[in-house]
Amino acid sequence: MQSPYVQERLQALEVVDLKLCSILQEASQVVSTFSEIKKGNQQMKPQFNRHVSQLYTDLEFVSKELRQEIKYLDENMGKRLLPINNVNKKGIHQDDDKLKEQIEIMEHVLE
Amino acid sequence: MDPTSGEWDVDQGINLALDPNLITLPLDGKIHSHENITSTESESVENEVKKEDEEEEGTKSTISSQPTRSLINNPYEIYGQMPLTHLIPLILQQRKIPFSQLSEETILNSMNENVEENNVDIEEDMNSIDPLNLPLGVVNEDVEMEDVSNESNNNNNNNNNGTILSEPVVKNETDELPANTLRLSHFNKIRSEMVEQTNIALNEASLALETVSLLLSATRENNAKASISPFLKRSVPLKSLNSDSVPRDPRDINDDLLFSVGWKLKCLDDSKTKLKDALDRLKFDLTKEHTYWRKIGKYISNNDVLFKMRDKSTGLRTLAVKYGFEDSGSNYRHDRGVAILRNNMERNMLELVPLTSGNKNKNNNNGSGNENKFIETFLRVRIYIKIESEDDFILSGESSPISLNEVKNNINNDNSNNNDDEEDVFAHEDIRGQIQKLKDIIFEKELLHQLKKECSLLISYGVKIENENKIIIELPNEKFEIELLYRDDINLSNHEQDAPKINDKRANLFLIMLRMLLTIHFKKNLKNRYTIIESRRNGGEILLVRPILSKLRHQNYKSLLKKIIKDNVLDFIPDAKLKETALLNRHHDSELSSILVDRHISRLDKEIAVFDKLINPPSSEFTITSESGGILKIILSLPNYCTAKINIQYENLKFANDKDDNQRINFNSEFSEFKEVEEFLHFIVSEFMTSKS
Repeated sequence: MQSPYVQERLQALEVVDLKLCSILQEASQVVSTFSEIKKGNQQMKPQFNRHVSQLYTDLEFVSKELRQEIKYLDENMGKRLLPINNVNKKGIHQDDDKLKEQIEIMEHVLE
Repeated sequence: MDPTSGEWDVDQGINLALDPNLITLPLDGKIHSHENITSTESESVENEVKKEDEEEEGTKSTISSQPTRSLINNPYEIYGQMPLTHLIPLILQQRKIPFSQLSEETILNSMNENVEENNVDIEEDMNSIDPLNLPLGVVNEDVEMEDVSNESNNNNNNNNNGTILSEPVVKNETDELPANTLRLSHFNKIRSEMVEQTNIALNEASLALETVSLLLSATRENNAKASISPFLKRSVPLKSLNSDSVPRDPRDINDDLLFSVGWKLKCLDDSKTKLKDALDRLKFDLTKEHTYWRKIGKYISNNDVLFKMRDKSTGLRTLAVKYGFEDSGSNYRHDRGVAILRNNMERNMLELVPLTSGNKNKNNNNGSGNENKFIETFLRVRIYIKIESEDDFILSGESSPISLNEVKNNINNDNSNNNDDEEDVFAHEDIRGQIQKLKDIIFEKELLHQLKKECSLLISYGVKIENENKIIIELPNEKFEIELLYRDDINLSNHEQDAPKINDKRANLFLIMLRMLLTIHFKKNLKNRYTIIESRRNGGEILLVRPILSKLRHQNYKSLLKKIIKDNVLDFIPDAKLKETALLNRHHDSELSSILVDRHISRLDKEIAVFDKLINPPSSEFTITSESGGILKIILSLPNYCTAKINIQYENLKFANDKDDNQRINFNSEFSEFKEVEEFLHFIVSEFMTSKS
């Protein structure tokens, strides 16, 4: 189980992901309304405007959030986080775990 | 003009009314003769008229395009070619007028007169021609002669031409010489030109035919084949040329516009659907990724070793967990203990897929069954007791596979329930449980591996490797069996129902001891890995069975030794007191103190030192003191964990205070045979300790 902080970051990145998705959706909406307008359906104009503005809001949100996350990453690099590529993490205490486990079992057996 | 000249003219020359350059005549004498007959004086008058015209034009230049037909007498040519300086005197002579009277008007007038005269009187014409005929006559004669020779002998034509032509040049006016030669050479030139032009025309025509044929070949191949040249057929494939006339309707500009608008609208719609598709795909991928990371965050703790890896079966980049004990000091290379964290979309769960180089794993990957993925293995120790009477062993104890979870859960639940939980670890998405299980499995496997390695050296001490997964340690009165079992073995469940036996606990402890010793072995490895100075002598050794074996053997030796002592010493010396002490030989400490080490290493050393008592071969000291007989020390030790070494020291206290060393009795001997020990003890006791009494 990772710390709540890490969970939170993962959550935030998920939100960013979903926003990026919605940007794509807005883009498709923009294109479709635009094509409607070009076909002569002038009533779509307000919709078109709405979609365009929504696209930009999403974009802004994403860029803001990503910047924030990068800031967090930079802040925590070396403290809470280590780059997975550069650090060769060693499972050095596995034998201790085993030993403790065995001692516990032994205690149980000897009870 | 006198008739002789006209007659002469008829005989020897031809007067032409037409410029022969304009017509082509067949070169045969018949026509010549015909012309001779038909040509009249009127024709020559016309000639004269033309000559006059020519005379006027002659001022401009001499005519280059001279006909070279020597067969025809053409006065027009003669005068036409004449330079002005020659022509004018001729005209003057003909007109019989002085040069001063010569003017354009007079000539024109005379010409008109001539025409009229022509119509009126032929005789007059003849006269007017007469002065011309004189020089012409020579020429005509030449021509006539040539003509004759042509008719008579074609072969000598050229020769005759040359000779005959040259004569009149000498005889007559020099003017006629260039005219004559030019005519001939020009003929040749023009002929060659004509041939050339004809060839060109022929070529053009055939080229056109080829083009048409090739064009035709596209539609009517057989027709084209008839006319196409073999060369073209060879070099260019038929039907390779085609031409179609595409009628192009003048299109309305509006149509074009509509067309492009339609295209653009279609493009917009397409891009919309493309974006939609991308969105769907992305959403799908994102949900996958999100669940994956959420699960990773949920199950993976900071103590796990994660690293990036490429999943070979799917080719995707994923994370992998290292659960092996390699970093903790294991040297086990058969299984590196790496498992990939794979997101199984079908079952919507995170899977832990161990990577092993063995064939088993390959088979497991093929089989989708979850139970095949992990073959859970564990070691089992069984203790058999020898029945003296039957010379056979019976099972007296068996270790049971206990895990930590079971220990913890045991307080609350039944064993049976725990077992169910255990089996479900791999069916459910319990990554932590799976990692733990994998660790256990790899540990047990390594334990057996190391045990086998160690036991291969202990064959002379009753330890043998029965098969790949089974080791048997035989002692005089009991037998230990270490075996690697699989969880799904059927006989296991049967045994689990068995009633508890006397040695079950001992078997369990035996197994726990082995495991602990392996962790100690890891620690030693680790220490060796990080210290350079430390000799590898101890680290390389695997001490798993031997410490236990030495304990057991020591116990046996001790009882044997006790019996010997009792039989040989205590029974003879009533006041003797036997004191037994266990000796600890800590050879590690000396090394430790001398080397300044890192604090992690020293911690490791401490941890190892805790197990010194376990690891080091046991030794015990028996001290027998009697008031009269002095001190007898018997030390039992097992230097190589298996064979006994008995050291017997004897000091006679009776003479301890004596200054004379000779009186002191001192023994310090080592034995490895109990028979010898017995004899020696008997000797000491009888000679020194009991001698007085």
